[in-house]
Amino acid sequence: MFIKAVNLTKIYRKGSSKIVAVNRVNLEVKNGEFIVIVGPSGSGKTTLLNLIGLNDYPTSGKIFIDGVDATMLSKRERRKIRLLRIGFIFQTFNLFPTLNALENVELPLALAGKSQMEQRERAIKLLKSVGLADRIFHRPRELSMGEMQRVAIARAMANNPEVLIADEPTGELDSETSREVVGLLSEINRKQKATVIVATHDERIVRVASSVYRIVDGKLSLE
Amino acid sequence: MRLASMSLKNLNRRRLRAFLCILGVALAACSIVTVGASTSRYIRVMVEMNTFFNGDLIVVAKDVVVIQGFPIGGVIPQTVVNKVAEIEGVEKAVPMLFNFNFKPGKVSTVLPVNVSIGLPLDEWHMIIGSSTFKSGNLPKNDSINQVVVGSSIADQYGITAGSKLSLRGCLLVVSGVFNSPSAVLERSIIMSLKLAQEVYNYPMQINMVIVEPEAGISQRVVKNEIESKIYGVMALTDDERNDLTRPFINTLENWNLTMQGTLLVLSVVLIAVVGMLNVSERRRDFATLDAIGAPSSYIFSIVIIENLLIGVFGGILGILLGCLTTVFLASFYTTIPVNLFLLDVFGLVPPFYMLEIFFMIVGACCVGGIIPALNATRVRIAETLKSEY
Repeated sequence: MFIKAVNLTKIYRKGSSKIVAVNRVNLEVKNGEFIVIVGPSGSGKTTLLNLIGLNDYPTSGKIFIDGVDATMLSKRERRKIRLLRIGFIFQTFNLFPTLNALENVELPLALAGKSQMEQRERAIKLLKSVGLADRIFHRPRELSMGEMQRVAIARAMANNPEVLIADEPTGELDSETSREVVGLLSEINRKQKATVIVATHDERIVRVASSVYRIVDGKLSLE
Repeated sequence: MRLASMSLKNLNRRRLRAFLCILGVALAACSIVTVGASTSRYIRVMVEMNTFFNGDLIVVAKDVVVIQGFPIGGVIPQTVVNKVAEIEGVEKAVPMLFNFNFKPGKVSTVLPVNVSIGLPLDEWHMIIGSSTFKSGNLPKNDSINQVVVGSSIADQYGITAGSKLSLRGCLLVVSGVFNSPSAVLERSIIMSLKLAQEVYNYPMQINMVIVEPEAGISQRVVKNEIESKIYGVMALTDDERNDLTRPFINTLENWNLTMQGTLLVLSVVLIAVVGMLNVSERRRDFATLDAIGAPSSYIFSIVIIENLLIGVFGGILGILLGCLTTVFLASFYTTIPVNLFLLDVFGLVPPFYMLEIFFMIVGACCVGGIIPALNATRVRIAETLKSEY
């Protein structure tokens, strides 16, 4: 998947004041790249990832996905891309508390219309690949932070997306677990040739990246 | 299946709230069933009373209160029967003594819904024509103290054919126990007119005459004749008897409908408020669902199915409670033991009515879930997830 952002701008308005979260960002992400975006809190990292991940609409500018202007796509088409072509990992994991690890991973597969058997096989395989073979029937509250993040990674990879977007994936984790998560993301990028875009403060992630960008006050620059 | 399971788990996550919500819906369903079934029962009994003398006129004392086929009090001399019979256009005139409230000896005190009916033995078919005998038979002649008893009373007091019954100091012999589709007859003691006059101390008095007009003669013509020639009585046609009770029945039905409507609206409001609260608390879940590509219809369905489940559980619980309350109320107001009503619970609350209420409640819960469900689909991913950090 080739992603291109052109003059991407996102402005939040609160009463009479306006906050420019992303300011005329231009970015090209080629297939198989591992991109890291660093920047202080409130600099616009999450907003930029949400725009790239089609979770939000820009105030101005465009995002092209394989040459198609994603801002012009219908809600349904954007959802389909999010479901099948983009995997999103949240800082706070955002697992469904009522579902166990297996069901959390099965959910995107079910949404993609996979059969029960396919869902089960794929989810178990993914959970094994992130080292959670013995925790598949545990609910999020019964898992550690690191385990929850690994379930979230497995869920993001469920439909074998071309792009994996991770927003501060180690932000809530201790250093040992962070290292494991970094390893997983790097492995996904190398072995599955998935494009990985990560917003982080974590130096370990910066070290495995192919390109590092810095965002300050919504402005993006290559490091 | 996955949706239902997910919704069920979501309800289970907020157990206390879900339980209280189900209880609220159940109380609404219970009230609807209780009020509806009790009202329908009384209306059914009233309507049923008019089916006894369909096509006939009834002659009663002037200005007496008449509920469908039967007068409440108001006596007329038995000689009126002969006068009526002599009127042109009258095929047959049958005297009847109809009485509410009796005390069956040592067994019980006042039973306000019970009735006793006295009429000539050869005319009993007018009343119990369609009934079948559970035990025993009709009395052999008019002179002996024999009665037949409806099976509801018989079951309550353990009466069978051959039992002896003390009624207002008179010793009666039960010659038969009959089953009837009529609730009134099920609670009746039927005896000869002479015996009824003796038991109730109405010598040569009756309180109604059933008049069958000759073929081709309208009830209206016979009515006018009777009222013009016999002093102190009124003759009521089918239509007039219906007209007398129609306003009352209409009022009852309207009251019932208003009550049902109000409770349903309250259920919708309750469900909507709780649903909004649930959606508001789970904005992150809905935003995450949206972020991983769940279609709006999927998110909408989760909320609606949760409401549907509340409706199903609340509906079932409410109907069960409603049946019990109806039974206890019926027993309380009639002094008929609860166990007798329990055996006939489907008679009190017909299965079709239960289904009707069940689907109404489930429907109301789904309607109440529409606004929360729409809200859930409108959650903005970026803003919601950002605010959670």
